[in-house]
Amino acid sequence: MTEPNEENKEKDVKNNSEEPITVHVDELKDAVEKEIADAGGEDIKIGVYVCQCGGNISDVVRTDLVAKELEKFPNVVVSRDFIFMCSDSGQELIKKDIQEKGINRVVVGSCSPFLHETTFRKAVSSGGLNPYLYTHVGIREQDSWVHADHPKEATELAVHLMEAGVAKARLLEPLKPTEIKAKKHALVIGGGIAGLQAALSIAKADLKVTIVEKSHFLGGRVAQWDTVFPTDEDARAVLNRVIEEVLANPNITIHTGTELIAAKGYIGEFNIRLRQQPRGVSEDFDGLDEAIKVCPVEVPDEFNFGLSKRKAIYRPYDGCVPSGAVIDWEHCTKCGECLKVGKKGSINLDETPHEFDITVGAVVVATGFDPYEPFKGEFGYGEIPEVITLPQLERILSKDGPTKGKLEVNGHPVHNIAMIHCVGSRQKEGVHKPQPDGKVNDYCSRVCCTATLSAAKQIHEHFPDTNIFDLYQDIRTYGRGHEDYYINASKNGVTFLRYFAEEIPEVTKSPEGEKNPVMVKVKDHLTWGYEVEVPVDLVVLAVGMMPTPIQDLIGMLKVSQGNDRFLLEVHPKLRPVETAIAGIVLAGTAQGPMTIREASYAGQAAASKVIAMLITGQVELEPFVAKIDPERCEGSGECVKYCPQEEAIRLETFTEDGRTFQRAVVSPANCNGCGVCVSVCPNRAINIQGWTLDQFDAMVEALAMEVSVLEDA
Amino acid sequence: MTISKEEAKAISELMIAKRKEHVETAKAAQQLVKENNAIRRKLKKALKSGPHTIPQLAEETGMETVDVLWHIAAMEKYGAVIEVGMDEDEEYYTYSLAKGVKK
Amino acid sequence: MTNKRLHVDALVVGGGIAGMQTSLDLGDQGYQVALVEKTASIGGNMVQLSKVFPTLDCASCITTPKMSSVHHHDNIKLLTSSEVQKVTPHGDGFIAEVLLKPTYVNNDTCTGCQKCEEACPVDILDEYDYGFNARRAAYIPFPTAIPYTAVIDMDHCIFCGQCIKACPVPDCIDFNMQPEVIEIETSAIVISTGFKVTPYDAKEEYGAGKFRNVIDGLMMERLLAPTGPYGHVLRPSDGKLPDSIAYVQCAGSRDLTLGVPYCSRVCCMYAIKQAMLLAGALPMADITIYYMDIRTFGKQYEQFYQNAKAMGIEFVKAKVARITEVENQDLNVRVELIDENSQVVERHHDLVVLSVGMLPNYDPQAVFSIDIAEDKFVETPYYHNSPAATTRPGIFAAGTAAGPMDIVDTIVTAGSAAADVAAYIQSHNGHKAETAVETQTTVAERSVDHD
Ligand SMILES: Cc1cc2nc3c(=O)[nH]c(=O)nc-3n(C[C@H](O)[C@H](O)[C@H](O)COP(=O)(O)OP(=O)(O)OC[C@H]3O[C@@H](n4cnc5c(N)ncnc54)[C@H](O)[C@@H]3O)c2cc1C
Ligand SMILES: Cc1cc2nc3c(=O)[nH]c(=O)nc-3n(C[C@H](O)[C@H](O)[C@H](O)COP(=O)(O)OP(=O)(O)OC[C@H]3O[C@@H](n4cnc5c(N)ncnc54)[C@H](O)[C@@H]3O)c2cc1C
Repeated sequence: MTEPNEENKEKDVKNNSEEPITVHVDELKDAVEKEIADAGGEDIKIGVYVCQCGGNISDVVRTDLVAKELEKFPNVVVSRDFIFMCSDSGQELIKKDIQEKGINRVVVGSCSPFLHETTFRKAVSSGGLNPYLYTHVGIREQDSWVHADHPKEATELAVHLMEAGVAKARLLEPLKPTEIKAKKHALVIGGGIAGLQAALSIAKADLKVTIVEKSHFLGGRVAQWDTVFPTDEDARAVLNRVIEEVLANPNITIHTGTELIAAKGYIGEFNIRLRQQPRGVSEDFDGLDEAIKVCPVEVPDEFNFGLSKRKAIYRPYDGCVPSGAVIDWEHCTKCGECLKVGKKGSINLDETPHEFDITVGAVVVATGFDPYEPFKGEFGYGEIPEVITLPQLERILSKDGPTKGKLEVNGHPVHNIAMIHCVGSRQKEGVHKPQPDGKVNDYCSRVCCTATLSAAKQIHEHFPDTNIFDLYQDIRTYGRGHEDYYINASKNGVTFLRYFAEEIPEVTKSPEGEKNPVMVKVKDHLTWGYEVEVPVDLVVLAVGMMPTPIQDLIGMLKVSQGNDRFLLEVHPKLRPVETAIAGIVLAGTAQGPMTIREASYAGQAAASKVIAMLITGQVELEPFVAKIDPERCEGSGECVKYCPQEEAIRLETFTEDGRTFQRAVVSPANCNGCGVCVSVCPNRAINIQGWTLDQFDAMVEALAMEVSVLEDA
Repeated sequence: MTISKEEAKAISELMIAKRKEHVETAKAAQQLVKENNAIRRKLKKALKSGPHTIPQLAEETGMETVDVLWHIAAMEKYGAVIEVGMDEDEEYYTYSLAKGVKK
Repeated sequence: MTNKRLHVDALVVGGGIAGMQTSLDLGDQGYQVALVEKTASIGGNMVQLSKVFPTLDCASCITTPKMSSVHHHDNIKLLTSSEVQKVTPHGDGFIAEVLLKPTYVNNDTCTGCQKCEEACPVDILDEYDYGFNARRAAYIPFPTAIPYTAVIDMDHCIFCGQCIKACPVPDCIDFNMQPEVIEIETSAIVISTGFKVTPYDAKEEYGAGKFRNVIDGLMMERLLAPTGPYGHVLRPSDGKLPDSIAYVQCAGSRDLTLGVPYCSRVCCMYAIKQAMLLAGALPMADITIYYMDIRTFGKQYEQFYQNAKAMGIEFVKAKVARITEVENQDLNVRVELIDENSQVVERHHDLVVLSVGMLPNYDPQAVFSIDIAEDKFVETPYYHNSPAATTRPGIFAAGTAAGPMDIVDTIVTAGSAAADVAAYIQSHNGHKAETAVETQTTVAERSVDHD
């Protein structure tokens, strides 16, 4: 030891020499502890680095003074400030100091650890040190950004925070990530375009994939559309190309009608329980048309967004995959009429759901979106039959839709249409009615502008006499090939009227006897802001997207949602498809509104991450988990009682010298390091590795120390 | 770096040879250096009397403000000039010669 | 004359954020990657940005660590100042001929000490700062360049020899360095050659290029950057702190007269971002954005727009007809106010930023034999199903090479291209990522570094 170290005085020195317990020694002691023992005698030499963040920090905090001040602290061998610590040359500084100055603990004060803790750990590691001999101090988010108006105090605060970091660094010990075997098998939840693309890419890298699709057919929403922008292709053609490839790939297993009912585990090994609804009808059933005729149950057909009815035995659409019919168990009365037609034994109304387990190494969540459902009366929806949503229009335009492709609503032909953008998107608090969770949809749904103008184009092509009025705020035809639809619409004589979110258009039923059943009133900002009245036969609401409600899944997988309810990525630029839970990634519109192309991109990007995780069959878990000091543990069991994680901590019985006693044992893979056990242990016998109680004590003490007054900052 | 006579000779021989390979560009660059140096001398002279804003420097040297700004930015980047404050109306920064201050 | 050959699984062309992310994603999957970048440093357009929407992280904070990871990745071989000259089919893959342009500095021994830069007497326009500041003829491209090594600019050298004398490393500066050609044998190729902005002087009526205080969005990024040319946002004509700044949206996009009918996707967001940053840097300044449609369509982008409105940034739906220079090199902007009966008014500003759009930076047709689309970006014929695939099997596209997009979207397309490459390799020559180590030694043995 070069310098006396006060903080170290009270630290209980770990004695690693002999293990008093004769059984299960391996479980309590590991290689890392030996490493600690080996490293035990070394001098603590700390390198301190204060990042200027190219002005983000140094415009407020005098990083040069902070570095100078830190130099004075015990064990600090070198202390510097630098323009970008995360840059290559910044990282090089650290490596050089490790090699040349022999520093063996590193403290960097910079952005939040969320951004670059791992960056610096890697730098420390490539300098030849254990990567966990590193402390990250946030002096940007927690200091310079929030105290920009108080530079002097901010500088002092930075010194305090850095000191605490140094105090912690003195007590750091080498750690080793938990290495576990990873199942070379991924689960994809959701069989829409995003999920299918993800599955396909993963399977092509020679990993196994299971697709779990809640509905009875593959393809998701795209199956419901008619012609897709910007290629003007048949939506089913786009879909079938992927589906065919998926079906042909031997690495992919598909379960339709299936949902997750339980999930536990961690990256490399998630144990998933699935429940599959029976179809009730065998694939080769030859009497479907007859069966549908005789079935007495009629319910709204969700595939046509309620524009038509279907029976309790049905096929979602002709050409769907799998192609067979299914029983709607929720509505089937089991009257037995269908059993009387077609090949005997093809229908079984007594089938029950089937539960089974799979184990996978990673999970892709691709559960997609639901179109926004307007409230009853919102723009006349649900009250005026001539007010429909854009998804419903897509069904009407579809050859296998409720009108077989004829532009008819409520039994009469359509000549004048008003299309209203941003229904359920870009909403304003106080103007729009909130959802049940109290929030309005303040986001843009991205696809509706082009989808609306694409539908307008289809209508003009097939029904050239139709007049279209387009009520919008901003036309967002942003994507490759999208702008053409806007240009086209203007050429085709679509009349654009611009409204503001604060003064939304009014839709009312025309008085009896009027030629057109609906009246739309709008304050048009393209013409003096005058109120314009447009009598029409049909109003189409360009509804936005909301994530498919998957509260149960969110609970099981512990992934997070953003304020907009879509699933949340870790960082939109650094880790755009990953969630905060290692091994769980996102794909498609479950994460936010997207087009088909974007959902494909996202599915493949998610696959890239999954492949990187699983391809070697080995994954590493962070070592920040609970650790028991077997000498202090008295087997009280409090930790087991309060632990919120399944199978993370348990009591085991040991014998030594004929004496039998209980001690807590942690399974690192299941522990998420939350620290509840630490706080309930009556004997201070548990620590979270990398965040020990001693380290916290030392940090608090350092924070409470007075900072010598700096020269005028 | 100290350089031996032989080394210096080798370098200058190499440079002469290379200059022959790049006659046109070398000439143009040399002209540029000459002009830059003349301008820098003028600016430094003006700055000797104390901090100046860009328009003040332009006025004193008879240069365009846009050119003054470029040279001052360059001199600041390479350590010859520092920014010291602002004018009364808080519209322009003022610059001074850096006394041995290197960036 | 070719004698060096590098064996890799994938060749990535262009080292912007798209190329870097593609390389990292492939490298992390165990594939061997060669990344070829035309300029002296990787990073692309993103390293020149100030802060990036929607999170307002400083651009360097996101980019430089990625650059560093690329540089140090065991499976990635980085070739800067290099260009692919020729691609020939080779089995299921390709052989690419790559020209390594001389930088006249030995990358392996240069320590980045900048002594040559200090000694160099030539000051010329610094392209990194769009000419707002100077650089030397011996220089390191920018403070976070990778590799962090000097380059000698022969076209502006006066051959004084000062750099050689100042250099502390023997034989590091080498005026005799010659171009070199190496061959890269690869299974697949990714084009990530990025974008350039529409020329800011393309619309004569806006006066850019003539009027000093009409600049473009990228220039404003430099003015806003903490490492920028002036250290503050000053107007380029005279160094004044601007107090009334105008943005002209779609200045180079959605404009048939310029042959750019498409939307460039990022300009609304970057204008709003810059306006917010300006509001912070110049609290007294008025900021106005003249727009046709505000297209804040990405995740959290609409909220970003609404925040900007709440901060007091003025949004005016208008067509900008003409910009004229008036006294003090201030500017009069003639606008047709669409929301007010298309009334035409002149508004006074002292700095105008043109929100220029995106054009492709490279035409790959000749060298790579892939098609470009009507918009001149790389054609991706399997639009919905295999969005990263080009017209030639084995060649994929990532980032803005395949159309305008922001960083978030770019990074996702990079992951997608990486997945496509992996699938292509698996289905064609059966390379297994597990054998990466072997391939890697091959790479090491056939090192292409200059010696
Ligand atoms: C009216 C309209 C028109 C459109 N037109 C176009 C167009 O022309 N061109 C274009 O590019 N894009 C268009 N889009 C967008 C397009 O529909 C989406 O990009 C696409 O559907 C997204 O695919 P996805 O896989 O993310 O989600 P989805 O298509 O929603 O698929 C998600 C799948 O997950 C399943 N699922 C949900 N929850 C669970 C669960 N808990 N367990 C298991 N499975 C579950 C669902 O059943 C579904 O099959 C349009 C959108 C709308 C609203
Ligand atoms: C003013 C402005 C502000 C912006 N702000 C933001 C923002 O705040 N947030 C955001 O998300 N996005 C922003 N963007 C968009 C962002 O810049 C791009 O999305 C991103 O940089 C695209 O990266 P890329 O790798 O595709 O292309 P590039 O950055 O252009 O990289 C391409 C690389 O390829 C190299 N190259 C080109 N041709 C060749 C060749 N033949 N051989 C070898 N190499 C070659 C180039 O030198 C370059 O290094 C902004 C754009 C602009 C114009």
